[in-house]
Amino acid sequence: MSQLTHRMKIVYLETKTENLKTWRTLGFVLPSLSFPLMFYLFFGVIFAGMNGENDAEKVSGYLLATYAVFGVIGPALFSFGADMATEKDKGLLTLKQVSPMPVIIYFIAKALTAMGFASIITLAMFLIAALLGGVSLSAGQWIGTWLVLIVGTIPFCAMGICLGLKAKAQAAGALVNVIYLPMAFLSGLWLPIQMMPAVIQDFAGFMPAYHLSQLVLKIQAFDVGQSLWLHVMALLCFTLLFTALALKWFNCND
Amino acid sequence: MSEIISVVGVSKKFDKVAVLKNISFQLRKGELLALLGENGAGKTTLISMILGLLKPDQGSITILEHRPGSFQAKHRIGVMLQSASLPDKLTVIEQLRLFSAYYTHPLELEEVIASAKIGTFLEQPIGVLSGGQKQRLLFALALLGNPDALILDEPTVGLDAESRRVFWQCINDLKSQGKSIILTTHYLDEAEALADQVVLLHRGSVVLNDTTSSIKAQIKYREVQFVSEHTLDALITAIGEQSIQQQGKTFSVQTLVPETLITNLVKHKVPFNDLVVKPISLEDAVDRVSKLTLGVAV
Repeated sequence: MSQLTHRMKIVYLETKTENLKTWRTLGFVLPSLSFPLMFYLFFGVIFAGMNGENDAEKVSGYLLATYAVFGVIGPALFSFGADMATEKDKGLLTLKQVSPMPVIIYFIAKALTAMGFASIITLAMFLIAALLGGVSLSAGQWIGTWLVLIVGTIPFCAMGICLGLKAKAQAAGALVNVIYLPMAFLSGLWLPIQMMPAVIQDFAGFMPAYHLSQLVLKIQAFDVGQSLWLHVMALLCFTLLFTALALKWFNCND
Repeated sequence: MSEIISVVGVSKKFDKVAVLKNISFQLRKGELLALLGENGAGKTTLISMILGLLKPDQGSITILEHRPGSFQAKHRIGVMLQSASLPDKLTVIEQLRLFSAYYTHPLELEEVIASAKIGTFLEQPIGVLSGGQKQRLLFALALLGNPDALILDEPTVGLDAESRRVFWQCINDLKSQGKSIILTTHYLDEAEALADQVVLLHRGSVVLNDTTSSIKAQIKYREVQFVSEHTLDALITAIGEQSIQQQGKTFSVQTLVPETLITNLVKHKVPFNDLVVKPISLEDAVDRVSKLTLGVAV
């Protein structure tokens, strides 16, 4: 077996195992799936239908983008932040480090699992949007939204690694929430950013979730009108920053 | 070449505090080396260096002439880490298949399952296993790559007597296959039962590095044990020995001259039966040797 085939086999098995572990943890699966979907159903579909007479579909379309962002960054932050903190504290990470597995595969498998989870949340939300919210997008827009959301989990995976490496297992879950929920609010994922006070709008530029949501909103031309590249570059910078920190802390951890 | 793992003049400081000072020892082929020492003696730091997780400040470590932590070294050693715990939600066989894939030439799973005696609970989630079963699964993971050397870090800590006995059997089986093993332990009876060589660490230094039999041979002390109806005080007055240990009616004395002691018992007409004279245990031997070396109590 060539080295590449062997590595691919490890990636496959590691991802499969990670998925088994994740899906058997109902305490993670149920809230991660139901919260964003329920939020969207209430605020994005039912609430929008009650208030807006003619532009209910627009509201549903807008909130589809932001609640989907909310939905996909949760699993990324939790599976790396909380999960990794536990596996680090319990010595499983060290056990993998001293085995001949290239440790990068551990991170790849976790990222792929988070992306798979993100896909399921996204597709379920698409169904609610199309069937109940009357959102009608072109095929390109649906696919584009899905793709940006999936690739967009990467900076949050990197952010989660940093949290996971620094936090103690017992504190990690709470710490992730302390970062996740305020960031979601301040980035305009729950309420449109335009409805926020100016100071919050200015501050939003420092939030990776804001940039991802603007990218997704751009697909339906609902974004605030900043350049596409600004958001892409911002997300890239966050990813590089968190990756650099993670590498530094990972080596210290050794 | 008979040296499997070679540690030469290794020193390490954390925040200017020396945790290891000029450590040297060799693990030879087919032997089991017991690394002993109380908590904080530097065992874990030393193991981390052998695994390539930490770098020595001075000195060097080689694993079959490879650098610790290198891909080649990782392929040649199997590792069982103290209190590492595996995901509760996975089954034993799922975890085995995953770790087996890490190696380019893994052993057949059946062989590992038999060696680690885990065949009866393969389909169970790891979360429901007993302490002994979990330790044997970790042991199985260490065997998967068919390693030349094994590092077992406190493998039997917290296990009941029966689980420990099963574990010792697994380790002895490995030795008979010619594997070389480093075992860290708190339990001297474990070292006595398994080890060919004992390295005792105390405050970051090697205070003892010798074969198990030689340590016991160095100690000329013998333990004299007997049952008597006498009180402890009466015995002390009779034979003038201060260091008598009493357990119920059984008394034991460690002495360099068991003959004199027994003569004294007879001379003072102390009634005794069930007399046993035996070499002192490794635990007592290590205690005495390290007191001699250090001039202090360990």
